Amino acid sequence: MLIEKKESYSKKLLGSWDTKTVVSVAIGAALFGVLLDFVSIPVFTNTKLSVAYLIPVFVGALFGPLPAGLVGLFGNIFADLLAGSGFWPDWWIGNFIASFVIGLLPLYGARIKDGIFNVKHATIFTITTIIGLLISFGFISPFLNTVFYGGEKAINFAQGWIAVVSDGIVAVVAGLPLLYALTRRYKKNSNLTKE
Amino acid sequence: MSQSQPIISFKDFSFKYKTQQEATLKHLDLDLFPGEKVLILGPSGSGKTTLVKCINGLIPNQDKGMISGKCVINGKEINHTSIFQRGNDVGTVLQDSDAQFVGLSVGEDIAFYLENKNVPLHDMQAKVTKAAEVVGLDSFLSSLPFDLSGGQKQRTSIAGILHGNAPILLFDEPLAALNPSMSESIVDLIDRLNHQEHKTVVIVEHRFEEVLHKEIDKIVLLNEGQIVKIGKPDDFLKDDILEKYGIRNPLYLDALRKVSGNLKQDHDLWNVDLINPSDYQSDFQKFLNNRSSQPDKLTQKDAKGIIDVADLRYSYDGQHQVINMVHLHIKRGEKISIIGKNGSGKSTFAKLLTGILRPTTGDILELGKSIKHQTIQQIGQQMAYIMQDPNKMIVKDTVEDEVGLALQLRGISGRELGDRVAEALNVTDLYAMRHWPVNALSYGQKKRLTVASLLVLNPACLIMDEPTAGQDFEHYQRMMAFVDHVIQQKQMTLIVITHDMQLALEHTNRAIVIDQGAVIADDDPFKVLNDKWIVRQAGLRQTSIYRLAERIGVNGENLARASINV
Amino acid sequence: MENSFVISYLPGQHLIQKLNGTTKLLLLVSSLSLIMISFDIRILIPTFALNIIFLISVKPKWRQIRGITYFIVFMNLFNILLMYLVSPTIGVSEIGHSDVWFSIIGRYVVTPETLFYLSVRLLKIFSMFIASLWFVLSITPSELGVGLYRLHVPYKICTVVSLGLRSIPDISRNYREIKNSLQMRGLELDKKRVSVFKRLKQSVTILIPLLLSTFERVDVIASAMDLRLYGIGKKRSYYSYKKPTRNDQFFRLIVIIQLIVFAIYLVVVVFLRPAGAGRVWYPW
Repeated sequence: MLIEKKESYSKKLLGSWDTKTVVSVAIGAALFGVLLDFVSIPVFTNTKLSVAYLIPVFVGALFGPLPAGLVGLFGNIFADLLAGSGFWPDWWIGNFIASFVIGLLPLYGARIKDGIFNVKHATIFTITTIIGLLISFGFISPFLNTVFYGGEKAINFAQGWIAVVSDGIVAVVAGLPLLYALTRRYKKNSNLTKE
Repeated sequence: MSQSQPIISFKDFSFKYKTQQEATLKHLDLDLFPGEKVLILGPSGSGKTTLVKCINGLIPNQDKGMISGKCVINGKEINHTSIFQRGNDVGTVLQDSDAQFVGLSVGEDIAFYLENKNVPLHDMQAKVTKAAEVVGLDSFLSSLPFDLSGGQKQRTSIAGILHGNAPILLFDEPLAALNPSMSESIVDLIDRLNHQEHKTVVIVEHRFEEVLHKEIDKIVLLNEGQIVKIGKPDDFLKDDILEKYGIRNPLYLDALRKVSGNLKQDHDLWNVDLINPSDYQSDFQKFLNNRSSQPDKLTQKDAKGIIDVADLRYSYDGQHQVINMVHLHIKRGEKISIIGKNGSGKSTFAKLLTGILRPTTGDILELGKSIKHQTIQQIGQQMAYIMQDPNKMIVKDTVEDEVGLALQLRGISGRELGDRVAEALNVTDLYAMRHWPVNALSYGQKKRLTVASLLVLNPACLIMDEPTAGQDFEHYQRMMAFVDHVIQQKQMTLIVITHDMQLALEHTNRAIVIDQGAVIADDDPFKVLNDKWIVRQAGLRQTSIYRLAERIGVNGENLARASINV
Repeated sequence: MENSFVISYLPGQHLIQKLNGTTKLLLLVSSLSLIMISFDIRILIPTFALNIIFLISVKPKWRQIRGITYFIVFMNLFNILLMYLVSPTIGVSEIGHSDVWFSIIGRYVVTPETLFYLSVRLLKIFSMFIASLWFVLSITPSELGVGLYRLHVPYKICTVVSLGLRSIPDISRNYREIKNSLQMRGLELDKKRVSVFKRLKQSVTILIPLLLSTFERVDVIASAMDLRLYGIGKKRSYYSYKKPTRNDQFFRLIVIIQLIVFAIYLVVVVFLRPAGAGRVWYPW
């Protein structure tokens, strides 16, 4: 029983890598890249208010954290490949971690596909998302930027914190309604009558 | 043929999806033999797709459910065969030629099967070239999907399933997205694979007449998960049973029935060229003498102009002219079909009309005013553009909210919003469903919703992109009856972008044919289709009524008009 | 939008473009590693020069890269200025000693160390930009996929890369169509008229149909792949694989040299650096 539970946790963490998952991650990453490059509102150097962070919310809800994290990682790489404005591995890693944490949903019992998402899940989602963003963009990305490219620490951290705030706004303020909308969508629609 | 073993055999076979209450396939008994070419017909929801999935292994490997009875494909029972083993027996071409194009180039997509089998590069290149030759794409190996026509994409998919020497080829609505001349060439190709490569061919398709372009050995008619009838095409055609099941009979047979009352032969019905013309000649001459062959004038001469195009030119790169139109005048109340091949410029023209693209030179007047300095939002008040896929247009959760969105975005609220939403819902017959969540709607209802969501703006013109693509005959009829109704109620101009000539004939009174950005014909649809040069330029085919008229020796245009306006 | 991407979907004809995908990847990775780890202009200047040569060799159209180049130059000059404003003696703290040339006002002094340090930072960023530019201009999604596979990355990950990049033109076309249809209904996206928050809300409005219509196709794509035996074996071959040629051997030699320099730098400067010594090599 205990072993079984362990296995199911690792499956929840890694996702099941069938063809559907591969395709979803590929397409999710492509969406992430397109949105990051073309649908964003610049706030600061290298920092944008972007709806791209709704993609890991979506993929995480359906497939779990690792697929979501890879969507963030490859999505960011795609964005760099499309734009041609340099490679920023400090942000790739940040996006991987942030998206991974955002995608933890199935681990604390939110099962969007079965129509299960309640206030408790919403609260955990909000808290973990903010913590995840703090770790990734508030600490890891700026730290790596200082190491890799020798930027000014205070500026890098300021950029990181702005990213935490702006991406947090997108992931939580826009992400929660998205999650509720998806839950409604997957719930069975019975008792529909014409009036 | 009958002494050999069946290659596909269903015995008292039923299947129920895990998520559904009722079985989708019920007690099927069906034997298909090696080398046969079989067409599976049935209305939407009859279980055709499920049957296809049972044959190609998606059931039970991907879609779980309850199987009872027996299904044996190429000697293997389906319960004990993985999807990979099945891949060696069955090659499948799906309907959506974009989604199944997973490679980056034609060559890569053809190679996909070989790549997965880890075939060494050298062998792979030889096999890809060979497969490409079979489908006639050998000079397109490095082309990208974005530069291919629907027919070329479908050929790529076909080439991609030829390597494994699978004895069974399965085509799931292969013609859905193709124009008439392309689907004819795909039907030819499928026939060649059946005869020359000795493949057993199973086709699921509701474009019945177009599949009949080449002979079919056997037809299986499905309804509500059960087999209604198995037989030769002539067995289905002589009794006129197909329309009950949402399948359109060949047009020439409808015409024969209408004119002569009944068919004077019960075999060789499947091909218009096999019909015995002498049996019908006198009936047809009498029929045509009794009616006027003049196109009906639906628009008054003094009707107001809605769209005026003057010296319109458009170019993406400053070098190639995509649109080059000297003059075009469209009046209120006209019903227009815009026809042309892929890349002829017809969708670019629609984008210019709606202000998505702006003319390089020249101008468009809409309701007498130049649209040069109007925003896309202002143009949207007049021109309602309906995309092919309703899911790309719907943003809100409920029907009512969706219809109200355009008004909200324009700052209209309160009583006026409520009234206009209610009116649009009434015209589109959605009022009773106004509180429904959008995802509870069927495809056809969603399509109606997208029309309603623009009707609230009281536009002068409705532009629809392929409104009936991929739908069966019943849904096609319902959709077009709906469009006719709305147009009439709101007295709008209708512009349909289509490659369905029958739609143009039945539901529009003016056809504008575009080729290489220029208007090459602008006339009554019946006349346009009578001109063989234009038909070829536009990638069309004359409908079989024209061919029938030719064989019987009457005027094709007159016969087509008369047989539709009965 | 297909034409506005910098990455190309068709293989090019110049020397670097014709290389094997793995060679291109290794060349990028070794260049980037050197650029990122090193604060020594004796390494950075040759690396920069090398990458400039690579870039020129793919003969980019200036029209195509003009916008992005201006953007990068402007952004980074601004960034440098900002760095100076925030810590005017950043070079001093990195290098360890200080010669004040003159003072502007208050704590804003000009030291050669700071100027030097900021130049090094600029050099690093521009080198990285140049390296990414020639790479993007010379690789196709398929080459990237097979290049990764040859570096023993699991092929499902390689598929994520090649399939994802392959679907980007479709996705951006869908995005544009959805946006246009909403604009026709009255959605205003004009930057001047609408506030940042309203624009965010509007982007979300467009996103819902985009998400649903895009993910709707996942099942069909996955079925199409399964039916053609995707995932049947542990290994996979690639149609777009190019056998390495003599040119590849030459470029792989450059890769090896770069990696050796990287390793030496890693050991000598990063690990064995005496405590208190700066990581920036300063000639004076």
